[in-house]
Parts: sequence; structure tokens; C-alpha cells
Amino acid sequence: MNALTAVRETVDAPAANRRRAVLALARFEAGRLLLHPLVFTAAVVYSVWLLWPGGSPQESFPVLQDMDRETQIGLELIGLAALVGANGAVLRSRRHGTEAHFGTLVLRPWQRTCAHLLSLVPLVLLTAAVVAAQLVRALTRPGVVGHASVNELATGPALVLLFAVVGVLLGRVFRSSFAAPLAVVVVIALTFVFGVGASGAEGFRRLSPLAFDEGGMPLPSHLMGRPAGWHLLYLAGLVTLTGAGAVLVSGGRSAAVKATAFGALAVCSVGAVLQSLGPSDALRAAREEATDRPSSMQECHRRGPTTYCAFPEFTPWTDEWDTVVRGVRGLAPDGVKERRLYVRQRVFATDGPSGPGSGTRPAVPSGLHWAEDDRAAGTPDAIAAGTAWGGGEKEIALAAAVAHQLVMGHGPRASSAVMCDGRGVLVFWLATQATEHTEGGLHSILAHSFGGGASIPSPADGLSAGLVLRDHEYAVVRALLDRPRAEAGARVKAEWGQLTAEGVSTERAAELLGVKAPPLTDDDRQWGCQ
Amino acid sequence: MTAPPASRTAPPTVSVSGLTLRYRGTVALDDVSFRLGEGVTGLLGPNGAGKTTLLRILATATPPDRGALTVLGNDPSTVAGRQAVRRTLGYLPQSPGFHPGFTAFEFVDYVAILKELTDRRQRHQEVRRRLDDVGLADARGKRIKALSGGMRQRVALAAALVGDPSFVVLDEPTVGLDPEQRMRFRELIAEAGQGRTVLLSTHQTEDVAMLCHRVVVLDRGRIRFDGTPAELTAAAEGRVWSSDAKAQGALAGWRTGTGEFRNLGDPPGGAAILEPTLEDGYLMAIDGAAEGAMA
Amino acid sequence: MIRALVVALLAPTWRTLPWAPLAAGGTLGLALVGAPALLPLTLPPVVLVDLVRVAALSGALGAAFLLDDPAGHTTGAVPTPRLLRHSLRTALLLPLAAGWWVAVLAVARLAPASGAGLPYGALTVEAAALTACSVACAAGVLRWGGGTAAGSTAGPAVIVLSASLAAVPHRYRLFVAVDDPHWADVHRYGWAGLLAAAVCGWFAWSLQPTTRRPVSGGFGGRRAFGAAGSR
Repeated sequence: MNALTAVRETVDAPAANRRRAVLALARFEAGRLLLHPLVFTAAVVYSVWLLWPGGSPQESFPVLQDMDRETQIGLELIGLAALVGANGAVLRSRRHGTEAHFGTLVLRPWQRTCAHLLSLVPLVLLTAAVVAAQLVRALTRPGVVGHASVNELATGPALVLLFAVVGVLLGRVFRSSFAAPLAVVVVIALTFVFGVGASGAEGFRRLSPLAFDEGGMPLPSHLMGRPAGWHLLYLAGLVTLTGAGAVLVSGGRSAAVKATAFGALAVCSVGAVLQSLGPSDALRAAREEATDRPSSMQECHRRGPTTYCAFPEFTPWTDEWDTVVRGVRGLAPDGVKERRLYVRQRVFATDGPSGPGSGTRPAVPSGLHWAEDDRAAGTPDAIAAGTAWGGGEKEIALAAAVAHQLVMGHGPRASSAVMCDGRGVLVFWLATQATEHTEGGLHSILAHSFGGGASIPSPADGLSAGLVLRDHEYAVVRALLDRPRAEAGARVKAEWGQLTAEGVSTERAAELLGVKAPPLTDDDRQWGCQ
Repeated sequence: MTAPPASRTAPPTVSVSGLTLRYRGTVALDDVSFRLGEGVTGLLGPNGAGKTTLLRILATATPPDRGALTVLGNDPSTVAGRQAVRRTLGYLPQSPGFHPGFTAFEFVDYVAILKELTDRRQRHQEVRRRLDDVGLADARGKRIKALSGGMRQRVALAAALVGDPSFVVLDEPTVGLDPEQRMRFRELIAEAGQGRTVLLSTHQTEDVAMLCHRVVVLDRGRIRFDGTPAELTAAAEGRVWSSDAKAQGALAGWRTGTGEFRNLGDPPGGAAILEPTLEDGYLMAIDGAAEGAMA
Repeated sequence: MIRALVVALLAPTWRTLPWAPLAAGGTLGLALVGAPALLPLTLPPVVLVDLVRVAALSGALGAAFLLDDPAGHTTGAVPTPRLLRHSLRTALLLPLAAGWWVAVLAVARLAPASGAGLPYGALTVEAAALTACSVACAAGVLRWGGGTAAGSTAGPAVIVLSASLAAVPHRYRLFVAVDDPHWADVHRYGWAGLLAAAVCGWFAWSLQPTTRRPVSGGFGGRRAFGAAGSR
């Protein structure tokens, strides 16, 4: 009975039947695409890379408005594999000489192209699932902050689809299996070279399928100027245009296909234009405000003698910061450790993701109105905190700034402070002892820095001063680190007054702490001390 | 029809013993042994029997896992021995590719150079002679991409025969040719068999019946028959009969043009026994193998 | 004998080179390094170096097709050894590749780069190593895959190789930034080592084996032949 109905349907509705054939072919090709050696390898390698234990410690403190964009670059690799795989699928019948046979089948070439295009859907859904898994993993981290953008998250799968559709189109235009690898090279050049590195061609950069941004530190999400929605629209137009092009090239020249192609071209152009408009005036003003006078946009929370002011999204990190600050305070003697301290989060928003890209930062802290803003907000001489957190390097950067404040009574006065006296030794030692991660953080900083001396960067990614010791002072710190912690801690507390006195020499500090300072070398004398 | 019987007593030019080759877990060749002498020997077998693998080994394109092969006294398991074998070898692969931009002459000339014919004048003479032999005298200057399938196949045969090899391996050279072209090809192969050892792989029993003094049947990597075509035909003697309906228990049976059924197998008593053909013998040989394999 | 053979083979081998992929890869490479000068785009030196690398990759992709021979089944059973046939093709490619590379570097010089000149020597070592890997990979595909067309496998393989060399942890990375302190060492040992390994691979895979299992078969395989032959 069923069979009979089926037969009748076949006779009555050849169009429906053909649609079913296209779907069946699409299913077949989808399976083959997922198991294509390149696609499969890329997917496995990417998954292993995502799941590999022991990534950067900052992964425990994801900033969602940054994380969403970072899902895109890995998927580009899967997309490139899909380009080659889909191209190989389209060329398969030519390569194995079955085109002459297939060309005579009921399914027209353009319908087979449609099937190839449809066969990309499962792969794209799979990549979307990977992105969703990444998001869920980030959301379940205790240190998660910020807001993810659906448009940014959708861009990765859209890229995979775009590249795979390009593979189908190339297979229909060029008979050679050589076109796909060349297209991969073009995409690599467009994204990783021109997309990243070309300056002075903002509009051109935006046309690259993967939009990178300079500016290392995350921004509060309301200051993000990335036209992710328009970029996604641009990509959607591009995908549709390319797909319609592939159908047109393989003989599907119906009015509907042509209309789709023209529509897609229009959508693509609209997206391209709108994404290159740049941030609005209101956003620019907000970014300047956030950079110069952030107090009006921030929330402050007090923990004991310390007040922490941060953009509302980042306040969950207050207790993380406080752990470090309390660690430093605990090493100072009574009367010092209760001193009022203020920590304020800093951003440089005028050069952030999709900012105008002026590329230069002012010499910190001059040029900004931080001191004035801090006084007005009742948080004088606030210590800078950044918008990235996690791991010993971040912790020691904050700890060193706090130690500087406690030892010197004020923050660093220049963009990078070379400390050539006993107080520098003390600041560094306090910083290394703040938490269990900080000493390791110093070693990992030094492992990838060059030149003499030792330095600890600013806790706000260069927005405030980093601290530098000469080899002369750092040798004393190392000697101190070799002593038992309790003994060194007791001496620090006992001799705090002498150790923090203005003009205390390194040799004197070493003596007070029970270690020896090496003689000054010519290299040490090269430094410009403050 | 077949080569002079004298050649069968001449010393063998090619001897193969115990050839075995596994390919991705399946046994492509299993302990294959035979000897070839002058004249055309046919190699029959169904698809996947291992014919192409055997021919590639004989053409030194693939080494076997185990077994010995000597061609005119040379052992191709050493570099020098293989070199010596290849100097006496002509090979027409199953799907010979071409450089489509070359003319027929240029392509055969190129192969001739690769066969170490370095004297230009002599080589050109030889190439012209081979192209004339295969009936392409007029098409010498035509580009291969402009030639028909049958003509391309003849270019490939000329390339195999250039340099006057004494051992010629032909892998399904008549596939895809129309009956007239096939007829012409048979003539060429028969001529090539004069004074040479030719091994011809084919599905077509007519090719064997018309060309070969000897036939080897290969199925599932094993030799099922080795003898003259007449002996292969005789293997079906008394096992072909006609009936009005398809006979139960026949290995194979089909309705012929006269409306009667032609059956192959163990005939019932009193059946009308028919004269067997080479094809009947071939089917018996590989069906016997199937029975043997099942047992 | 060999000399006469080589002389006779030069012209026809030249004609059998895969001109379309070579030309396409070469043209794309030149177009890529020419783009900054044409558009014009100002690239920082680090990025310009990367662009030249992508151009080198494009050329290496063309070279992946070098050993493709549509008549490979016919030419695979001739007395002229595969090593000689591969050597000839490679030797014919060398002057072409060298000329193309000089052109790529010359065009890259025209780019309005902000900063110092390109590290020509180091980039040349990288390009040579990539191209050698590409051709070696093609030889490997022919050796182990047994077909006649290696480029469609070797090309993507070279892309995968390059991506791995760029994506592995910094300690093993060969595509280092031009201001990286390990730049000189990476080129002296890493890239030169890769080039040497690729040349060795190309050589080993261009030899046609006479026995199937070279490890035990160099001796054992021969013995199998001998034993069976004496029956």
C-alpha cells in the first residue's frame, strides 16, 4: 500500500521526488565531508587543542566579550579544511571519470551543486555545537565576567560555511584540484597577513572574512565597537552570493537563482558599508570618558581598608584582587598594613577592539586625567587594575603595585620605574610573597623577557608603570628568596622603618635582611635610576 | 589460429613461482606459479581476480610479498636484475595515461628514450616503424587529445612494442573497443606474438580463442586452470546441455536465441548434450573454484 | 650512456612538466607580494615577512605537482630509473624556481613597508625548505600511494605542514617573527634541518623498491625469491 502510494507520488510529483534525491545526495556527501581526512583531522586537532589541560591561567577568568571573538580563529582552520574537502567532493566525479555518466542522469548538474551546498550544513552545525560548548565551558568557570555576543559566536560557523561554499564554487569553475589549495593560500594571506597587519586600510581590513583587532586588553562590553552584526550580515550575503554563483555556473539559471544572487549582492554590499562606518560619536565619547575619567562608570566595593572600583561587569573579580592585596598587607608591620588603599580598574578604550586604531598610547599616566578623577571620586592615588586576570603573572603585577604603594607611600611616577635602592628590593620581595602563585609568576615573566635586570609589568597592561630592578638589586632579592620565608618575613617587619627610609642603599638593605649584595657592575651603572 | 607447437617445447622465457601478494588485508595473489614461452598466452579471470596485480608484478611495477620471478634469466628482485628485465619488457597498463599535448609520434618517442634508445636517428626509425605497425602512419603528427579511444589504445600498444621487447605484457588492451577495432587489435597482438612472449589479460574469451596457444585462468588470486584453449574447452565436455526450461541444479543456465535453455553443470540422465565452447570451459573453471572455495 | 639519455630526455621532460599548477602557484605568489605596492598598503616588516612566506607557500604548492605524470603507469616500467626521472624534473624546476623567487623578493622590495629591509637569506632558506618538502611529499605519495598524480595530496599536505609549523608551541615553531631572538638559530638549525630532511626524503622515496618489505626484505625478501626460485 505504502509502496503504491510512493509510486503514485513519484509519478505525480517528479519535482518532489527530485527534491528527495537532492536531499539524499546531500546526506551522502555530508557524511563523506565529515570524514574527509583534512576536515576530520582539523576537527580532531582543534578539539584536542580546546580540551588540552593546562592552558593559560587566564582561561579560568574568561571575559565573554573577548572569548566570543576568539572562537573564530580556530574555526577558520576547519573552514579551510572544509574548502579543500568540499572542492574535492565536487571534483570527485571528474577526477574518476564518471562525469560523462553522471552528466546524463536525471539529477541535473546544478541540482547536484545544490546537494553539495546542502551537504555543508551538518559540518556547520557541528562547528556551531563546538562554539556552544566553548561558551558553556566559559560560563561555568567561576571567574567568568562580561557578556557574549551572539553575532560574534555565529561568525565562526559562518566562516566555515563561507569557505566550504567557496570550495564548491571553485570546483564548478575550475576543473583542477589545484584551485582549492591556492584558494587556501589566498584566504591565509587575506586574514592572517592583510587582515591583521595592514595599517591605513581600515575598510579593506573589514572586508577580510575574519576581522581581527589590535588592542590586547578586553574592554567593558558597552565600549565594544565591533560591528559584529553587520559583519555577520556581510558574511551571510557573501555565502549566499557564492552559493548562488555555484548554482548559476553549473547551469541553474532560473529567475529565482538570479534573484537570490542579486539580493545577496545587495545584502553583502549593505553589510560591507555599514560595518565600515566606525564607532558612533556617543560611543567615542563614552570611550574617552572610560579612558580618562572612569570613576563615573564604575562601581566601588570596600574590602577592609581597601576600596576596589571597577566597571560593573568586572566586579566579580574584586575578591580575587583582594586576596592579593591582603597577601601584601600581611607582610607589612602593624601601622602600615592598615593603610587605606584604592584600586581602580583602567582601560585604554580609544584603541580597543574596533576603535579608531590610532595605534599609539599616551605616555602613562600623563595625558590622562586620572589623578584629578581619583581626587574627585575620593580614591586618591588609586592603584591600576586591568581587565584580564588569572595566574601568577597577573597576581604579581598587582602585588608589586600594592607593595610599591605601601613602601613608597605613592604610586610610580614615571612610565617605567627603575628602582636602584633598598626599597626596590623590598617591593620585589613583598610582591613575590603575596600569594602562592606570585613567585612563579615572576619566574615566568623573566623566562620570556630579554636584557639585564628584572621587571614586573603594570597590572593594567602598560596603562600604569611597570617596576624594574637592576641585576644588582635583583641579586639581593634572589638571595632573600633562598632564605626561609618566616625568617625573611620577620626581618622585614622588624626593620620596616629603615628599609623604607628614603635613600636606603641596596647594600644597607641587604645587611638589614641578612644577605649580601654583590658589587655594582658596569651594566648596573648603565641604568637610569629614579 | 595458435602459435606453432614447437614453441611449447622451447625453454620458458618467463617463469613465476609462488607469487604471493597481500593488499590491505586481502590476498590479491596466492602462491601463483606458471611458465611462459614464446607466443601469446591469455590470462582470463573475473574482475578482482588479481590479473592486474599479477601483470604489474610481471612488469616490475610492483614487487611481490613472496615468490620468484625470472624473465629471460633475470631476477627483478635486484636493481640490476630489474633493469635487465625492463630492457626486454613492453608493458601496456590497464589505463595507460598520456601527455595530451604530445603527438602520437612524440609520445612513443618519449617512451623510446625512457627505454634507453638514445641514438636519435635509429630511434625515430623505430618509432615510425611501430606506429606504422599499429596502423597509425597517418596519425603520427596528431595530438593525442585529438585521437579517438581506439587510436589512443594503439598509441599505447606502439609504446609497449617500441624497442622490440621480447616479453610483452598487455593488460586488457581490447576493453572499450568496438568489434572492428577489436578485430584489428587482435591482428596486431597476433603479429606481436611472433618471436615474442606475450601475456594478454582479458575478460573476453573470444580474444583467447582467436589469439592464444595457451590460457591461464586466475580467480581470487589462485590459478584455476593452465593449459591450451582446447583443453579448457574440453573441461566442459559433457557438461553442457539444452532443455526447454531452466534446469534445476545447473551451475548456470540461460535462454538462448532459439528459445531453448543452455545449461552448464552436471546434466541429468538423457539430457541433450551440447558441444562446449571456450566460455563454457572458463565458467566451469571459475565455478569449480567457487565450489572448492565453499567446501 | 646516462649522459646521452639525459640529453635526449631534457626536451620531452620539459614539456611534461605540470605547467598549469606551476604557473598558477607562481603567479599567485607574485600577485600576493605585489598587492601592497599596488593597493597601496603599508605593512610593518613583520607582516611583510609573513606575506613573503605565504608567497613561498604558494610556489611550493605549485611544486607539489612537479612529479605528476599522467603517463606514469607506462613510464613506470621502463629501464630509466625513477630516481633519474624525478631528478630530471627537479633539476628543470630549480632554475625556474630560483628565477621566480628572485622576482618575488624584488617585488616585495617595492612594498611600502615601514621599517628595515627583508631578511633575504633566511626567507630563501624557508622557501627552499617548503618547496623541498612539497616535492618530497609528492615523491612519498607516489612511492606509497602508487598512483600517478601526487599533487592533489601533496599540496594540502604542505599546507597542513606549514600550518603546523606556525601553530606549534613557540619552542618548536619554525615560522618565528622576524624580531624573535631565536630567529638566527631557527634558520640555522630548524629550517636548514628541514631542508636537509626533505632532500633525504625526496631521494629515499624516489628509489623504486625491488622488494616489498625493505626492512626485513633487503635480505629476507631476496632470500624468499632465491628459495622459491630453486624449487
